[in-house]
Amino acid sequence: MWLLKKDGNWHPIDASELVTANRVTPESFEGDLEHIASTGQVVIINFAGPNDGRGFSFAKRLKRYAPSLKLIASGKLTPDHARLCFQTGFDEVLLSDELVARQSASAWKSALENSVDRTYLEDKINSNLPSIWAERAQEINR
Amino acid sequence: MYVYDKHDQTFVEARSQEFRDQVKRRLAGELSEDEFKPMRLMNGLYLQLHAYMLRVAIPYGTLSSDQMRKLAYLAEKYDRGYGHFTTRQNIQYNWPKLVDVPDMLDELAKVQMHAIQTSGNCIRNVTSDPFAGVAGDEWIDPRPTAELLRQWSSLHPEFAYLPRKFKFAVTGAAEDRAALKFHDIGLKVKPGADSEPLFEIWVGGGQGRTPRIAVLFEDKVELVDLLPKLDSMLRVYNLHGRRDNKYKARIKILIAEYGLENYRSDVEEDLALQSLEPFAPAVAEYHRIAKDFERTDVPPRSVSSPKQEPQSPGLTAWIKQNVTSHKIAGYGVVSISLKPKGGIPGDATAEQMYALADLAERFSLSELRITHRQNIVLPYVPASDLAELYEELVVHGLAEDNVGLLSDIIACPGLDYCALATARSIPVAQTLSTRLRERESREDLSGLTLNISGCINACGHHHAASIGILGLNRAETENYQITLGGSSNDNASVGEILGPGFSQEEIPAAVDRILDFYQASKQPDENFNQVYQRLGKSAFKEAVYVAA
Ligand code: SF4
Repeated sequence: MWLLKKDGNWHPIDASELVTANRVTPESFEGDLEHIASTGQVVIINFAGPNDGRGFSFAKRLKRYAPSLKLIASGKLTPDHARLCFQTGFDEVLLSDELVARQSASAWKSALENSVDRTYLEDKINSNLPSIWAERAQEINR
Repeated sequence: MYVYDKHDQTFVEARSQEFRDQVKRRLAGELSEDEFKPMRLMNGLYLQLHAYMLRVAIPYGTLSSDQMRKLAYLAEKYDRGYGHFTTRQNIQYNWPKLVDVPDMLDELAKVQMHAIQTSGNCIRNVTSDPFAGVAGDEWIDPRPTAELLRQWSSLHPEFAYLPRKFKFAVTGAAEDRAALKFHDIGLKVKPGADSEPLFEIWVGGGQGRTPRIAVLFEDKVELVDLLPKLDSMLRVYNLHGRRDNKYKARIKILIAEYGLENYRSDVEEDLALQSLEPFAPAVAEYHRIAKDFERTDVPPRSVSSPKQEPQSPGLTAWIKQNVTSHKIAGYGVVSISLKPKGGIPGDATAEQMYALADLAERFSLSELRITHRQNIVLPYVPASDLAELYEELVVHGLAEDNVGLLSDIIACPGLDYCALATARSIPVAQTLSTRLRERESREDLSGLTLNISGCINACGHHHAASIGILGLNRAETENYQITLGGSSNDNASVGEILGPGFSQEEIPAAVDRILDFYQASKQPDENFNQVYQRLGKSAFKEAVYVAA
């Protein structure tokens, strides 16, 4: 298994390192945030499929509720999901060996580099560049 | 009109670049079609029956002459010389090659256009009133709100994989010209204190297999609260909307099954957790955007011209039918029909698009609009130029005087192009248009609408028409179901199924019988839906089936 970081770099990880993490699946999203936040410092949120975006909204809510939690995305993701993960509050993306073998090694980093990661409301990932609206507001105030 | 600043421009160029990379990976086999599909859909690229189809956004239906010229150029260079304007104010090209699409997007970016989120399970192109800014009954121009929503929703990281597509419409006038209550969320903008906008939020409308009319979620929402509220509304839908059945995945089903009150309380709970910081610039943004829509370059015109030239009967009929009064004296709002007798609704050739761009430049301050009824509008035509404009439109085959008549038919592409279709829509529309134009020369068929869809997805808005036609496949044969009494105006209603379907050949005669019965039954000043409500389905059914 591998962990992808915001800067596009990744490193191998042994499954035993994550045994204490709280694993949450879409079905358990109904569970209350307080319970999830109190069950550990690391939460792995599983994406049931590449078209199932619940994990993004769930991460956003959970991160707001408990900002100190470390959130890891896992499941059926493609490189193009990486931007969405990092902009919705995930700290890392967990990639299975199979996923890494199927996508070319550079695909995840390249998708992150090529994605439009600065939007009207979202700051650029790994950069001091603020969102478009925030920058416009700064320009008006200048 | 809204003009991109450097940030908007960089954004669309970057998105085009990103898609180029995705196409490259697909062509190199690094992405499977399954993986590529949601990416291409989010950029308006479908795989249809015969080829790819690219849907280009025309946000809130407003575009400039230069933009229309670019659309013509794309039709000429990358398609087969025409484009199809849709009920959501977009344009579709039916024959592009995958390898050419990144170049098409680059061309669009040069004129501040894109195909972002014109498809896929995300927030789609925001639609609005085609008469925005020029309608006499307008309270407040809805387009600054629509543009604010465009920016908020563009590549929103949370809402790229919703349970299903999500459609917004915004209006700001007494008359609903955007089918607001048939949208997932409809916003009605009214002026509040100090002329700041106040919003009514309607939720849960939609067509498709389970047509629903939106219900009022909240009224008098202030501008500062609008986006955080919409963000929470979408988040609750994203988390709770059904994903087990695509026909039950729209927000209308969540509202119906979960209940409006439960939904509302979940939204409130989510709002309490929201960080409002990212939304802080939204009010200033709204006002910055609104300035672009204030046209200060409209020259005053004399209300009555000193000498009136005699008008040809063609011009008189065209003015009566296709020209609407303008909020500025001395101007008219001209609707140009894309429904010629026997033609394909919403189609325009590249030559016609070039002509429209030129005519807008000459007669309408270089501005055009696309309507949800698949027509074109020139919003700023001096009354004194109407005759000259008409003559030009005649030359280009664009002077059909049937806007607002029954032959102003909405039709989706149906089985001629669409991979989801169960029947053809286009030939049905063409036959009916010919027949109805003949009837219209003898009788008044205004105030009725006829819409055709090629499958239950209802892109042709058949539920919302006085006479709706839905193409189905029964035992491998095309069969057409008729619905009556639908409407998309402020008193929106869903049409009722009249009875067993008809073959394609039987449809014209069935429509004739409906019209004969309506004409014979109507009282002075009654429109079709009023007659239908007064007499009921059984009376129409008898007239249509027993008389057959
Ligand atoms: S209604 Fe059906 S046939 Fe028509 S465009 Fe939509 S999906 Fe295709």
